[in-house]
Parts: sequence; C-alpha cells; structure tokens
Amino acid sequence: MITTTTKNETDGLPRDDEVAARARAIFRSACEGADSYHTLRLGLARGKALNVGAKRAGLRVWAPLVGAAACCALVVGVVWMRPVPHATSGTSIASSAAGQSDQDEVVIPEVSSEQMEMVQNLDFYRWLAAQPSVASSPSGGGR
Amino acid sequence: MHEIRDAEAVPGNQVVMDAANALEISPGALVRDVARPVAATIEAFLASVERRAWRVAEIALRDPDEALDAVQDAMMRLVKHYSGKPAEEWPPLFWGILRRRITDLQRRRTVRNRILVWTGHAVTEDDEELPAWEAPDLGPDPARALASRQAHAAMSKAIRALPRRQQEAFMLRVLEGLDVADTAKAMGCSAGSVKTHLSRAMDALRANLEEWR
Repeated sequence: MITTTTKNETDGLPRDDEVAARARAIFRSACEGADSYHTLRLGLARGKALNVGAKRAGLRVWAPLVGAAACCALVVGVVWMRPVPHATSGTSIASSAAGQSDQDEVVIPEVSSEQMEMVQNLDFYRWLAAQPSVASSPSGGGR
Repeated sequence: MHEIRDAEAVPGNQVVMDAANALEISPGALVRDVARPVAATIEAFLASVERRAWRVAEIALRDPDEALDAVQDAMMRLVKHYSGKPAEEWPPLFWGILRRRITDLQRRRTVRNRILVWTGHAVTEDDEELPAWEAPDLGPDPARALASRQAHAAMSKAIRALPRRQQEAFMLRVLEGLDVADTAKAMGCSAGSVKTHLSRAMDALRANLEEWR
C-alpha cells in the first residue's frame, strides 16, 4: 500500500496533515481577525434572515386557517346563490314554459269549474251586459 | 525509492485513489481540531458559522462585499426552507446552498467579463489583484496581524488557482472540517469524488506551504 505520507517524505514535501493544520491555522486567524465593519454586517444579515424566517413561520400558521375560511365562504356563497327548484303557480309555469324555445309542448292553465261555466255561457253574459236599462230603472217602468 | 517505482507502475487514477484512501485512513489528521458541537438553535448555528462562511466565500469570490451578499442569501434560504430540519443536517445544507450561490456568482461574473471583453472594458487580472482597503489594525501586535493577513492572502491565492471542485473539497473538508459524507452532500457528489478532489487539491497545495509561513 502506497501512502501519500511515504511519497511526500521521499519528495521532501510536507505531509497532508501539516498542510491541513497550517491552512486551518491561517483560516482560523483570518476569521478571528475579521474587521468590525464586516462583522457587524454579518450580524445584520443574520438578523434579517431570522426575521424572514419568523415572518414565514407566522404565515405558516395563518395561511391554512385563512385558506379554510375562504373555502367555507366560497361554499356558502355557491349554496346561497344557487336557484332552488320550488312549486309555482300555473300561470308562472306557463310563462316560463313559453319562454323556453326548446320546449314544444303547450302547457294548459288550470281553470276552475266555475270559470269554465262562465266561458261556456259567454254569449249570454254579453247579452246581459248590453241590457242596462232594464236593470237600472225599475221604478219608472212599474208605475 | 522502491515505493516510488511501485507508484509509477500504477495507473494515474489509481495513484489518486490510493492517496485519497490514505487521507481517509487517518481522518483525524484533517479534522482533529475542527469538530464542532451541534448548535441548539438555528440562530446559534448561523452565529457560529457566519465568519467562516464569509471567509470561504471571500476566498472564492475575491470580493468581501459580494461574499457577504452570498452568505446572507445562504442564511435566508436555510432559515426559509430548512429551519424545520434536524440541527445535524444544517451544516451540509448551509454549505451546499452557499456553494451553489458562489458558483452562480462566479458564472455571472464570467459572463459579465466576456461582455466587457467585447466592449473593450474588461478587468485584467492585475486590476483584480489590487489590495482592498482594510480597516487600520488597532490590535496589540500589528506585525503579527500583518503576517497573518499576508499568509491568508497567499493561501487564498493558492486555493483560487485550483479547479473549482478541488477548491470546494479543500475548503469544506479541511477549512470547515466537514466529514466526507457531509462534504459529499454539500458538493452534490459521491464520497469517492470528494476524496479524489481533495487528494488532488492537497497535492497541488503542498508545494505552496512555505509561502504561507
């Protein structure tokens, strides 16, 4: 097994752990010696990131509730606005039926038996209406 | 000498893998004094990692302000998307986010430089190497601080000369002290690739150690 350590020793070059230790020491020193301006800005950046996270956490709590409320309102609105089929009078059915072009059958209005009798004796009632003098002056004619 | 002859008889990739395995045989040599406790809260984690993250980004990007933006972006993404994850998962997630952000910025800069080359306003290497302004040192030992800054500048330059994946492997594994599995997660590759990249990086950096003293 050939190791880098053996090879490096023969080449007279530093070993990997020496390189790593030296690099880490320099890096640590550079981190500790960061100037105050950039250190302050890093702190501000951290605060900003955490604030964004806090706002998002609040949104995470409220968003499902708001969504559920909006869905409920939508459902209630749809139910409220939907036309409810209900029983109507014969006349309104006839008028609505007349408005529908695709509905061919004619709906006959329901008429009571008294009204039918009146329609059948229409000529008699017309004649009766044309005789006002007989009905309105009984006293003059009787004497 | 006999062992060197053996090494020459082995194909190149095998030598690299042997070297990588040798690194893995003694993992304590690389991460002996870097092991860090698991942070209790995400705020504590960010507070503990922010300076190192900034320095790593600065080495990769050469610009302290751009590095700071990259770190802030990585912090925000970690808090936004992964704060609910277990604390043990934060380091590889954070470093993975930061690595991708650095790569994005490097690619963007490359495109911008190409456009500037076409328009004749390209920034030369000499311009980029100009020393940035630094705050006056008020510490007790200015000479030592200066030596430390010079060593850091030399090390940063040597790391920047490496290919990108080797840079990432070296900084995550050696400077940050992540283990092989976490480094692989952060880099989005296999553990074997991490070992190979790290071995090549160590080979390249070994010759520069004298300059870092």
